[in-house]
Amino acid sequence: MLPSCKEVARLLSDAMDGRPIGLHAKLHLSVCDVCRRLLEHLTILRRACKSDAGCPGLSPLAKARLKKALE
Amino acid sequence: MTDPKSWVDAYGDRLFRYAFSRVRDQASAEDLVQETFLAALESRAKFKAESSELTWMTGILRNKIFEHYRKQSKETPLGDDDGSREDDLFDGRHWTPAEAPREWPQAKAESAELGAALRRCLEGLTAPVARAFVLREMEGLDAPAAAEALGVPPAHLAVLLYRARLRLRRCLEKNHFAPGAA
Repeated sequence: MLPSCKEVARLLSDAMDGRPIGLHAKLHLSVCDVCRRLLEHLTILRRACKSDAGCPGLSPLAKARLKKALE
Repeated sequence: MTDPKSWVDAYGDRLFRYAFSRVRDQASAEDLVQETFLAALESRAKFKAESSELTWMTGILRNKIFEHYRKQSKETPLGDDDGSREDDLFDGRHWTPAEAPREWPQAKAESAELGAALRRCLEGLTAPVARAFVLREMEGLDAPAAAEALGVPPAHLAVLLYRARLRLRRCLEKNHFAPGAA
């Protein structure tokens, strides 16, 4: 029997850390659009981690404190 | 090497963003940047011009963040997260209709806003789950190194990462990718 979506979700997470996914899970993916979408989303999630766009900078108060500490 | 007085204006924002996106707390991120500058000041004789000052300081900050995590891991028990939320995603063997991953529009997957949405979603994770994710996915440690840094067995790290990924995926789908979401 092919693994369930629940089992495949866990296997896909493990695969992101280098563990082989296995033939049965591959077969499941070949017939399950939803789990294929999960794999795509995990890949997008990984890519998004590389960006710090939109992150706030130091506050003026913190900058003043740091400058004082470096005097 | 440049004058330390210029460091805050030259590198402060970049280092703060790096720290803030990982520790999720403004005061801790500011403290880590300050510790980084002071450590750089003390050890500037060791700086070699092979890398840029920013790269060198980022390396120092990275180690400070690991130390911060190690301290937090000791203070926060890692067993405080039971994972029951993941069980709710499935109806026995399959995704429930409400929780099944939907198509994500390509434009939103490539937008700069995605990184900001991810950081907001990280704030909703429990501390152990968030730390595992940050070390593995943002710091890029491999799984054995991340498990060692957190002081957990590799099998437990795999559970924490599974929870983090499914929760963040769900959060992004609802708050970034859904029609009408920012």
